Amino acid sequence: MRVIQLTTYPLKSPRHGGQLRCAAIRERYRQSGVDVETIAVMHEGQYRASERERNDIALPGSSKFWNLEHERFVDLQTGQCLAGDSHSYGLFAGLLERLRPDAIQLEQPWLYPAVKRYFADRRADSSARPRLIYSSQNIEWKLKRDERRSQAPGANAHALNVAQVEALEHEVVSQSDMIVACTQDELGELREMASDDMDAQPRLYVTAPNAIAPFEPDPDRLRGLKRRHGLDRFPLFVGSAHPPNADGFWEMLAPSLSFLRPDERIVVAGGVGHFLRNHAIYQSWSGINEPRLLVLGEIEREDLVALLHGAAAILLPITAGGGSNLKTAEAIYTGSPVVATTHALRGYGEASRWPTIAIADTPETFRRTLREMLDRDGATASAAYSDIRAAVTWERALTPLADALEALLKPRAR
Amino acid sequence: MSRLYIDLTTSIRWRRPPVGIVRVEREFAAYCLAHEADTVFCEIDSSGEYRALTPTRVREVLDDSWCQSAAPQDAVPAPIASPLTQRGRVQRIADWAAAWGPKIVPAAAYPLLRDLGRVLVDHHGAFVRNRAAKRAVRARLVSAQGGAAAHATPTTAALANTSIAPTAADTFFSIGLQWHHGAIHAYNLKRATGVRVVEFCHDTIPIDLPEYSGSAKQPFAEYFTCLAHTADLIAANSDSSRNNLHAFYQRVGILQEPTLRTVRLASPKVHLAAESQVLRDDEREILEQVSRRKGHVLYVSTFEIRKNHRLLLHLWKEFYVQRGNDCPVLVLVGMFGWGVSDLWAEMQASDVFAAGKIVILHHVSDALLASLYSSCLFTVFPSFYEGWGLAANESLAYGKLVITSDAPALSEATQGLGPAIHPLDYPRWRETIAYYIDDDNARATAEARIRATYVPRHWDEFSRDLLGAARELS
Repeated sequence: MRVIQLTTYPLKSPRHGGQLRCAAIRERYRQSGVDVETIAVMHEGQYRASERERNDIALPGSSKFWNLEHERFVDLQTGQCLAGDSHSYGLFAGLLERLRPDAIQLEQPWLYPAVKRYFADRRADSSARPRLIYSSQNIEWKLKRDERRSQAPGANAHALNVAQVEALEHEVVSQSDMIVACTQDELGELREMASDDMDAQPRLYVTAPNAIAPFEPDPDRLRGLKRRHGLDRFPLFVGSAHPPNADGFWEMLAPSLSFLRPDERIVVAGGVGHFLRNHAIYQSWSGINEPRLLVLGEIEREDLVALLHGAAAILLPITAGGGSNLKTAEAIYTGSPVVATTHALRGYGEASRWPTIAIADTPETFRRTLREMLDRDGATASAAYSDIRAAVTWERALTPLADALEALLKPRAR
Repeated sequence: MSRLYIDLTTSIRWRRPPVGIVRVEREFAAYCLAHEADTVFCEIDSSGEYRALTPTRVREVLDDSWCQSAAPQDAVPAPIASPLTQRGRVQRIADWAAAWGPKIVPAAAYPLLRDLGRVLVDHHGAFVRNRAAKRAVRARLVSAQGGAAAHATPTTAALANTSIAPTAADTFFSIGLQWHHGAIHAYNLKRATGVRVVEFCHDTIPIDLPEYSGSAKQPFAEYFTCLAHTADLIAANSDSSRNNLHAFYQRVGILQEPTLRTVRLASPKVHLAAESQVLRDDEREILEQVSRRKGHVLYVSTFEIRKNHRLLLHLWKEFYVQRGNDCPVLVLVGMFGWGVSDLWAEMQASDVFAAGKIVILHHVSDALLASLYSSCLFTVFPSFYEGWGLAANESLAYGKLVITSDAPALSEATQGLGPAIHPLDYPRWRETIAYYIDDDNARATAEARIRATYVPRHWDEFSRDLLGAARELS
């Protein structure tokens, strides 16, 4: 069995959530004996050549398909460019011809235009097309629609782009033989999308939540970080440079961080710090907020792991977006106290009942819950927590997906 | 047995005639020194620790002479004919250069140069203080080694005292210019010892009216937030200040407010006892000149934008045009503050100022201030906002009518015994001031009413109330 996995980012050194998920899926398939090749397609300026793998395709920056005024839609443009740029498409089709996969797994819908063209070419040759798997991470068109609150004005152009994403997502769903979602809710939405197709073919549906690879902290790292930054009991917020991360943080911690004592700071890891400081709520009371934030920026994985384990509370103030969050899985895995919105726990079923997790869906309760966590002695996870931890590892989360792939390809197995 | 601890840092560092906030700390400390045995007085040292002061040191600091120890030229009031001589050397040089100096730069640039000069002087002052502090620390080290104990200055003697060690049963008062010295020190003390802490809210102007306080809004927001995590009790000088602080805590989402209590300020006793005999010759001359012909109207307040001196300038321009030499003198007593460069330039260029009908006096002694109050026609207080308005209250203590703005705290401070007018209602101010200038009977009636109904409040009462509020905590 051979599967080609199509992404818009390379998987050589996975860092962000999408990369980690795709790399984990590839690894899980390989553990099941599936031959997986990944073709990552991206703008030539997006990643360094050293970060790419052998099959990856760098699209020319001079292509007419790029429109950097709509930078939040670069992924959409990537698919259009791959399908429309004859040289790049030639590379892509050549790879597929050489690899002759049993299935093509689209990670997010972006590269579907090129797959569609390839399928059309195969039809012209009267050859059977590989099975198509749509591996979603979000309901993309909704995510793009909601991002606009954090972006510059330009309502009409944005709406047009969102409409294109919605149409693309519908088409991918209707043409797929298997559909993968991160949460049950999203799987339901995708199922509904698929039912719009009157000539619907039988297809498989599977939920595979985001998860993490097991990790263990290095106590020396934590001691070093605490000494270097003068930390005692600290809350931790992890977020990438994605405006909705800052929106959620301030939405749940508004009107200010005044509930923290003068010597308490929220440790911020990841690229979100700049967005936190540029947020209107931060700026209204910057004199209060600034001394209560310790913005570390991007940090080494080992440091992040140490902080996750050492935090008196991990904040998951996620109020928007689809999919399920890797950082939620990481937080659950550590066994550290977590204060989270209900939205942050989507895709993790019973997580809200787990002993280390407190749900807070209003700013008042979120702030009070965090205050209480900082005031009481750090609760440690019980021995029984190991079962809960296992539930958020890739090993457990991706087993249904591996089984579904096997079922999908069985009749065609060589 | 529980003990009182009082942070005297503000009083120690303030060597000029005390402004309202400094007076609050000094008067409260003086009361406790006299009436509360075993009170421990302390000062923040350079490492942020509180060091106990010796009784001798405390008496030295609380003596009136402590606030008259500024450079001699600062203590001399301005000759009326030449108010410029009252101002700082840098300002005088800059203003002279603007008028007579070589036209190297446009005349309009001289005020900027003057302000720059003031900044440099301030920095120089900070450098001198820093150097003195370092010397004191060095002396202390030498003293600790037993080599120079005999040469220790009073400052080093105080620093040589031990760190304070209050318990959770004790009460620590931190009621001076704490945003300047660092509110975090009291927070650290509280965390380390569990001592009950009493802080004071003098006003929330930097937060509620940031346009009148430079860029102080955010530092003050943090200051009051730090207080919320430190204090068991925050006393406010008026209901207005207390309400505003409560509103601020609501706005920023403080989860657990400390107890907020109003403890109204008082008028100083010393002024009631002042007599003109203690005036120096130059002070007596000033008093005679401002009181000549139609007498004077008094405004005691820092010369800054919030205090609305502009309204008075326009009124006095108009009065001078209408009345000529029969226009009473407007006497403005107070330090130069912030945001009045253009107003000061306008005032100096005006005919009414040149005619000596507006006089500005800085660093006025208590004796001269008492005489100015006693001999004035009435006082005015058109400020846009006040936390309390000590001078308005003071005016009543002298039995003098005060016309105030309708800022809520001023109504509290004056017990409703004077006209209260919106600070921008120019016609009403003009009409009311003219009425009380011209009608001796109206003034006499107002003063009789004040004498009959004004309830004076002395610093002892203030101190007893503050102690009472603190003791309620236990």
